[in-house]
Amino acid sequence: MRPFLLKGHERPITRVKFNREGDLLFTTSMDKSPTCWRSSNGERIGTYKGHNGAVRDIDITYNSERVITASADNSAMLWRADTGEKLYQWHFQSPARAVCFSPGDGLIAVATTKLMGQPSNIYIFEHDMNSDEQSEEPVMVLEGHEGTIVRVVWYPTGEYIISAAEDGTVRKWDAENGEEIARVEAHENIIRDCQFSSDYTMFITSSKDHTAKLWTLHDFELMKTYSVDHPVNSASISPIFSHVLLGGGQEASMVTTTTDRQGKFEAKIFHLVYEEELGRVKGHFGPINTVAFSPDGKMYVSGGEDGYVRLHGFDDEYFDKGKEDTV
Amino acid sequence: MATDVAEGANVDWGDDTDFPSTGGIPPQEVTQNPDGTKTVIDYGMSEDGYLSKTTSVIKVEKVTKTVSRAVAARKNWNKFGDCHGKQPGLERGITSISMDEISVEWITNDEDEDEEEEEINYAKKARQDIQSHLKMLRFKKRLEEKKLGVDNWAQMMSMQASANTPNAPPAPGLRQAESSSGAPGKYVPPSKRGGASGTAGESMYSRDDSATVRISNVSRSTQEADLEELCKRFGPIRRIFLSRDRETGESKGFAFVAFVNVQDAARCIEKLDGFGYDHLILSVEWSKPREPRDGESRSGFGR
Repeated sequence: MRPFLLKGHERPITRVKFNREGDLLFTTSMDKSPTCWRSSNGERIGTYKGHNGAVRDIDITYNSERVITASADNSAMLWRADTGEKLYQWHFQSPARAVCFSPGDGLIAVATTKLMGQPSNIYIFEHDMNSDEQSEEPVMVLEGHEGTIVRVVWYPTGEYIISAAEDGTVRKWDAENGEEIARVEAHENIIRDCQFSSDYTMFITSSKDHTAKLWTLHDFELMKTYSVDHPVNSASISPIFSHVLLGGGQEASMVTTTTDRQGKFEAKIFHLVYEEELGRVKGHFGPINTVAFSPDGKMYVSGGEDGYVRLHGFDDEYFDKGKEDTV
Repeated sequence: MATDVAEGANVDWGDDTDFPSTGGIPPQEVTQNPDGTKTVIDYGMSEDGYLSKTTSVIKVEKVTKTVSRAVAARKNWNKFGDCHGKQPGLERGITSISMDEISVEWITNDEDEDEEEEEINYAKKARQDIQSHLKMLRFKKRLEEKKLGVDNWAQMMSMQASANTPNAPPAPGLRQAESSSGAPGKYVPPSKRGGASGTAGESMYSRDDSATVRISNVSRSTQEADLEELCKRFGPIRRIFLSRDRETGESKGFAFVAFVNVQDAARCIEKLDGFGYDHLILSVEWSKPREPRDGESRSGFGR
């Protein structure tokens, strides 16, 4: 298959995310414009203009009507997804790093960066779907992480919040009272990404310590470890096959010192159960910062330090192979 | 496929690039082709004032897909932000399709192709080595003829050179006298000194590959020392070369082991070919198809 190359961003890509149905693709970058794409043909639908700094994370409501972004301009912004109209802005003491809607979209979680003496906390806000105006005051603040939180994800039932941070821990918080319930020292080095499986029974963390790890969601039990010879920046679980997709590569600051062959910038497909590398996909000129399977599992998207977003559709061979691999 | 542009008019192709400078940018031309494709000609003005013409042939295929109502509604979103007001459809320069077919490279166990390539590269490099080596010899020979008997250095070099080229015409006079009797006051290399056997011995330039074996399918973690350990039981080893990636220093999975004696090498092939080492099965063979040729037979991988 010939992938679509989406060149809308001028700086490294920080996050790619599909909406629930998978027809829209949202990308954020170190430049100031989160972008919405049509995933079927790679058409750019629009950009969300208003941020004044790098954008690190994005989330979409269940009905794809609203979008929230986290930016290094110390704010999180709420947008209308279809017009790019800015609805509301929350301000923080340090850059916003991760955002997430709760199931039902009644709450919003925003994690901030540990910087300038500010701790990395998770702020929970109420979100009124029917109004543009939102409440400024957080209903809750979750404190405790020693490193910057890179990802927050709500439990599918809404009871708990999972957070992964650069201190190498993954923590589970009670969304009712904000207490930390469980914690696991997941990695020896900083965690870069944390993604759920499509059925919300497992999640996968990726780390600079050259591994991605698969955990059960309910009791944080380590199931599998996928080892490679480079830092892993992102990992995604296929919704249809026993496949895991790993993206990473040599660190961005080291890229110019060697050739791309040594950089290991391929996306790698691992077997979910056997922890074996099955195949790899070339393409990026720099490390891959973020990967995501589409909700139907028929394509994946990767965003790289090189500023490109690549939208790969899988060919028939992949599906044949996937069926063999999946039991 | 710039087809329909000059249709009818007898325009020279060279004139085609010069547009009349009257007026602004010509409007877009769309022509329907008989085979169902569309030819679209776009005109544009570049920053330095040149008109540009882009001809593209577009094939439109209708694919009907059933999607949910919400998804269908989202198809009608207008463009916003940076691409506000743009026509629906792909934007040039923003979305492109990769020129290369990129599919998943499945990992299989056979790395034959890769290996073959390495082999070719290795042979090429060997040939280059030989060529530069021969050049050196020629240069030295010339030196010998020129400077014979003039100074010690030249004599030493010339002697080495003549030792390396068996077919070289015997140098006259002085050298022969020297090598046989060892005239006092002149430098005599150790191999030529009294008591040494007649042959010149192993020169640092020549490479005799008659006793060299090629071991392939060596596991990546195998080091030179491991190979030495593995092969030294067959007899004395002259040289071990484990091929490595120039950039990463990783082993490429094959090695050359040069024995001192051909019999040892033969024994090594007999014993090690098909031998399971690490998790792989070694394949051991002579390092080259042997085709002795005059003059070149000494200098190695003549292929």
